[in-house]
Amino acid sequence: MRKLLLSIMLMSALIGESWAQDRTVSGKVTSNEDGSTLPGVTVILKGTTNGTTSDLDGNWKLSIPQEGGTLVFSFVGMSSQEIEVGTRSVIDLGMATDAQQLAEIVVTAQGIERDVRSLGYSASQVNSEEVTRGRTTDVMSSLQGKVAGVNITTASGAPGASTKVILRGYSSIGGANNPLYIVDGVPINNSSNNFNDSNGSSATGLATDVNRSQDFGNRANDINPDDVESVTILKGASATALYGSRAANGVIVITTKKGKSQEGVKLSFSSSATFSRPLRLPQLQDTFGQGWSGHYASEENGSWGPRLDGQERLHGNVVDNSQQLRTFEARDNLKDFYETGTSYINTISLSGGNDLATYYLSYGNVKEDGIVPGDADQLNRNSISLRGTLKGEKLSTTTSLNYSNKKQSVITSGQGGAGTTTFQELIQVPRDASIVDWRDYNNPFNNLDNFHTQYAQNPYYSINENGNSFNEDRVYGKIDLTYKFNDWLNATYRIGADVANSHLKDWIAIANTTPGSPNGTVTDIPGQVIDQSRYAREIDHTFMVNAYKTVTSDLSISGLVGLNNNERVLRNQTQTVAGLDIPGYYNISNSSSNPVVTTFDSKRRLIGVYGQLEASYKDMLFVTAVARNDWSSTLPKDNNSFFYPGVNMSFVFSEVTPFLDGILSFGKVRASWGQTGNDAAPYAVESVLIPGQVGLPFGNINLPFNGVNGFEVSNIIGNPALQPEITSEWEIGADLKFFNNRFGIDVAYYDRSTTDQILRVSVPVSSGYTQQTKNIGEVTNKGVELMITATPIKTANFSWDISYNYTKNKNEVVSLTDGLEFLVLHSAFGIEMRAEPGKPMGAIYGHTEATAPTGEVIVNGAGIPTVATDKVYYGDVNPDFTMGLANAFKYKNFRLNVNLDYREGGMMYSYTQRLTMFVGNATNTLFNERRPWIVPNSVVDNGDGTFSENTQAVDYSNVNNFHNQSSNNSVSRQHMHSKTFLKLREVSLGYSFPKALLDKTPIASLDLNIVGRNLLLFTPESNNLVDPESTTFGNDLLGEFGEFGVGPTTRSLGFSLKATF
Amino acid sequence: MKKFINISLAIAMIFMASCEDYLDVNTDPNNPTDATAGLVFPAATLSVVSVIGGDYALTGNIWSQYWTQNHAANQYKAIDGYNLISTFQGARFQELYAGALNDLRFVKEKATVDEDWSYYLMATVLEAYSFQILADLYDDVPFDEALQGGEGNFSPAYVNGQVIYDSLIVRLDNALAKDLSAITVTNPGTADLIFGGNMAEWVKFANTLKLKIYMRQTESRASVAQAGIDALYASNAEFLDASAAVTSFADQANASNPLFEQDRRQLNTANNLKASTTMVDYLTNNGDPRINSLYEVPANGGLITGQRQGDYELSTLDLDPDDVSRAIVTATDPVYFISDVESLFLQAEAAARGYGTGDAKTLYDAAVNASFSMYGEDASTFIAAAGLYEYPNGTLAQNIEAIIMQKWVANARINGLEAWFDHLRTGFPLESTSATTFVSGQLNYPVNGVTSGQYPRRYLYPDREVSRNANTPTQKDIHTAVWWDQ
Repeated sequence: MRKLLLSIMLMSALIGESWAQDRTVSGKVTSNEDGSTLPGVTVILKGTTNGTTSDLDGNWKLSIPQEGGTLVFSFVGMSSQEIEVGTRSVIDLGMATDAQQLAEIVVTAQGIERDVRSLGYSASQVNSEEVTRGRTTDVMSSLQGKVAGVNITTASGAPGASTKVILRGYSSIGGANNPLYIVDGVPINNSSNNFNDSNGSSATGLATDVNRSQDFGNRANDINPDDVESVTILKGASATALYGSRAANGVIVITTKKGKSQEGVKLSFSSSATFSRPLRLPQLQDTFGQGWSGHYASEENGSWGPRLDGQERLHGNVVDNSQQLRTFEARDNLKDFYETGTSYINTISLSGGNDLATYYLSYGNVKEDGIVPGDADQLNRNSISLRGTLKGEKLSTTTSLNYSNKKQSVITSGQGGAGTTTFQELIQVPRDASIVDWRDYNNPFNNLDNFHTQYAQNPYYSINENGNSFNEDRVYGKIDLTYKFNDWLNATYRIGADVANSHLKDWIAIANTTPGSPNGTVTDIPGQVIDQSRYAREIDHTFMVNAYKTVTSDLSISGLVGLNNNERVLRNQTQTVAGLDIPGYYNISNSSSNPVVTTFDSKRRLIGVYGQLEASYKDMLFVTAVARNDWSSTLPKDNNSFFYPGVNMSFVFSEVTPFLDGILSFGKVRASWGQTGNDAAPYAVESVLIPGQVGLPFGNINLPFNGVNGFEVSNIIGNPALQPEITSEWEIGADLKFFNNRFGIDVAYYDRSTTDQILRVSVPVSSGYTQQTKNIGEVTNKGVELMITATPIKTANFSWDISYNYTKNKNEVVSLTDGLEFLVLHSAFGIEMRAEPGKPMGAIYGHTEATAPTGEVIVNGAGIPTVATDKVYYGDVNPDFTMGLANAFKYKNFRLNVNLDYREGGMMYSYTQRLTMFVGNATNTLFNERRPWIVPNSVVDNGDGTFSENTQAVDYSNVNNFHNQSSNNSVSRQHMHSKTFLKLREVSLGYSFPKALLDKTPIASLDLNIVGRNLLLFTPESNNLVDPESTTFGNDLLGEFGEFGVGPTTRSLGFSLKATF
Repeated sequence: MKKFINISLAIAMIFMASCEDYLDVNTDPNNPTDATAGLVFPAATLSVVSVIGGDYALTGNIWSQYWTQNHAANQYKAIDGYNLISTFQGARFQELYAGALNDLRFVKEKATVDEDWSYYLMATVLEAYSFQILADLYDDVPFDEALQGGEGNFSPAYVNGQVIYDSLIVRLDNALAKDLSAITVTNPGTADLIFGGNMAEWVKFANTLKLKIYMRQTESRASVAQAGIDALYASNAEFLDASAAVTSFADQANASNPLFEQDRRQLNTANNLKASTTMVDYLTNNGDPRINSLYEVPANGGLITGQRQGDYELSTLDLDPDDVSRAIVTATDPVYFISDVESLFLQAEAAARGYGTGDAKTLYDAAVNASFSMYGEDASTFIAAAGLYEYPNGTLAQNIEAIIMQKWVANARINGLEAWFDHLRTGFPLESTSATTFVSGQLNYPVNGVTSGQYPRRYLYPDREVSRNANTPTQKDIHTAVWWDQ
């Protein structure tokens, strides 16, 4: 590495070149406020285009004619100054803050730093302090509730769980709605590492299966928050167009920490320990105990038994002529099962630099053990970062290299064969049973043969005997070379790479019961190993030329043109073998069966050419035009090019409204329009043949058959007419600051439409095919984003800042082509999530009671409602609005931050609800105290078109059937919960040790924090079971469907320490 | 500066020029884009087999009243009670078009280019076989414009069954006219799962299929049928004397007889299909030994016993399910396209009608003999003079009844669907419309039938096709006759 640094240094020294003019003036610019040097100040000889900018140390040098002239010093956020040079050759200048200007620099597309005032679109930037305060292990979940227009949810409370980030609603029916992540100017891979033990897919080509899913997080979560300097969120099409087709869903620009040239050697250390407990465990009924149909039955797995009367009862199976006794009373059995989770995050970094070079080195470690007992849920991540800059007179370089290794084990969620998923086992446990007493799963009463029920395994057995292990090595980074031709033109070449190699092993233990034992008739589990290797590589090249020209002192123009080339490669290989021979040995070799091996390779390439032109007039009117053309390998060869332009404008009207002085300190309106395109997944253009397999209603006939191999024409036909998906968006907004910036409003309205949605849909089978990837339909998102900031109190010692954000997004599937009435995106137990014209994306349909023409509910012979043929519209998955409130109090060296997060509306499916109703644990099974009742206003169908009044009550033996969706589909509606919640998202109390105190120590700064996350959760009364943010279905549109036995989310409390030396 | 611009332009030009190649990476590395006829034909064969030997065998064997739904289970109530909805067996419609016929089209195209007429003939025969069944079950189906998704046709027109029939003869004649001894013709060998590459047998299969197509039209277009069959005989066409069938099933998962796989191996209960009283009564009355090859002895022992057709709502207290015989289905049962027995019955019926030059009694006796010997039994006493199955040599109606009744028995477990089509065409066995009184020797309306005494005569168009192809005709009731069913 040292050699490399040396050679780069030599290179830049050689390229150095000097040129002279008449005479030179130089100087240093500092800030009047704190005396710090100001880099980037523009110095222009008035009336000419001759100018320069100050370097990192505030130094500048300019050649001017012998006769001198007037220099104009300008810098965003500072009052411009004009200085007559006269005969001076050194001009040191102090600049004052301009209250009317906001020195808010944000990183925009392609890493270009721009003053917020010049932007014609909304861009939100969050700094490192926000990112690290909550001590989350990933970057994005630390921003929950803090930025308008950004919907961030964490899938579960498990260590390393996926984080879902959706900007301005769902645009893509096909389910690729994640933003593009850009780290230090280059895109990184954010694919999901989730695993699902089945390959079921619906007509839409989306995974539908809810069996045994494992959440190993998404790859953007690999970034160590302690390494992050800032996060910028670019939402609109005009803001993201330069990033090309992959930015159609917005861009998260992450800038990492770098060494600073003026700081010398700085060592910093941050460490935190947080402890977590379940935030929301299902609140279950405490009135009835183990049994079924109203009778006590000690072999049952559910609470349809008698009233809990506090009497001693024998329970479980008779083992060696003995049986256990248990008090028949409700227990906090779920809460007792979970343990306290721990999370330790440590980062140490070393940075520094001088005029020529800077460096930054960091090592971070995350060690988490989740709330499930034992080692079944844990995360261990090591990350190393190395960054450096070298600055020559002409050539400068920036290098960033990151390595991360992640080891993770997770609890399997969803439904699956007995014992292979955990949470669904726990919520079925009778209310009077004590789960922790089963901890010793080899105890004769608790083992496979004698466990009290045949309908579930001992949960301790499954968390200890079944498991998984995910291991990933990843290297990502970039090298950036910038050559400065002169003071108005430079060129940059940047290469970025992201290579990830991962391996997953998933195993299910052999579970055979002894014939003749109480559970002897339970189907044996033959054991299974899945061994999966994945490789992902992304290489990105960018070549860009930037120009900046001052035309007159009032008008300046800047522009850039760039060329981008991106390649992404994926290789997956999965081997599965069932029927293990040696217990506890998990290797593909451990079976007499042949392993099933599947491989999947994919490669896609993209070339883009783009340009941007910006004109600014008097630093108050800004117009920017952008355009990009992409060529994608995934589109048909002769039609693989697509062009999309954008334009945006910003007008700082407070510059020309002096009459508002004293009230309005800053005012800006902005408007933008832009487009982005999106290509298809690879291999949707050509038709292929696939290995032959003939499906039967149950089972298959496979080829090779009797030694004869065979291929068949794939039922998915290629589409040589595929076109790019195009998103058009316009946006208007205003940014207003009042009373010396004490009160501010930032508001945006956007209207986005995505047409030619690329999706795999069904075609008539008589065409010889069943599905085709097509351009289908249009989806719109319209919304308002509002951010209000206020500083109600600001004194020398005390300040109180409030920040409130509000987001409302209205989503609509406008049309589907091809005469499709709707598309089923996902379904579970008869409830469907659809894309249907005229409805929001993710319209929920489900069963309802059949009714007579006169409106009465038709019941069957048992008095249970029958089900109408057609499903009815329940609602949709999208929230009505979301809002967040952040309070920051500062008193001397103390800081207190309190963040609240609120979401209103939207529906989610809850398998937890379904299952707890089925087994009689849910509180709504207490309806009518479980006494017989007649369904109100019900009739029976006489079969001849007439109906008579129903007199059949739902009796004791049928109460459980009434609440069971399998026998009464009309209760489906109760499985849908509102997503409304209020969360006390983050509370932190911090203390910074005064400088005076640290003066005599080597410590430069020392901060202590106590931090709590997700401390309180309030939901509507109807949902007493699940955290409305939890999901089993990954981090995209399907994730909105709800949860399938995902397990509780967590609240955490801990402390952190941060020191610099 | 100028140098820089020049270099940049040069780089950009080289870059753009190589773009085309650079972006040419969209060929799926996971699946082949091409294959030989020999690699695709086996998959196509098994697709047809999975349909005719799976779901269509269920419908055929239940509707021909060999089997009925066990009252202690419920998998096939809809079939047995004629309670069809538009999703009924839609997946088989899909399997035929998108699983079999599209592959056969691929094989034909390959064979045409290569002038490999063996594959051309084989693919044409299986294609005609499949289209005939589709036309028999649905009448109007996509035909000329079907399978053209590759050309962008996603709303193929529907063609009347009669037109399809005429076209199938043309297609078969076209394939038969090809020179099988040409130098470009290859021997399919094991890729031919039916005859192992014996093209003489395929010619016989093609001829017998033509015979079957003509015979289907005896009631609707007798003159067409007669002319066609006369022409077959005039050209000395040979008919199948060995079964056209796939026989190489094994008793292991995903390699078995499709009905066994889907009904016995994969379902949670293997007790859905029981003996129907209709067939059991007929065979018992005649002392026909073939009964032992069709039904198991009841689990509780005793004589082979049936359950009334469609009596699946019966309480298990009223009839112990273990007192009823289960239908015999084994993992290695062949799937027959046309059995040697069926070939003989077709020839016998043609002769009885005076089509062609065959002798009806000789062919009939051979057919019954072949059916008995399929199960290792001897038919001689049955067909001898005064025997129960003696050829009547009476009026045309008597002769046809004898032939079709014997064909009905012979097709039990072998090709139930063909027996059902024979019943629709000839009316034999006769239909009893009473759901309450059992009539011996006739089909009995299922006890829980939902069509008020009407027997099904066609399938409903599948939902998937109705919703995605605007050309799909309006649904007709399942008791509306198809074109040849007069």
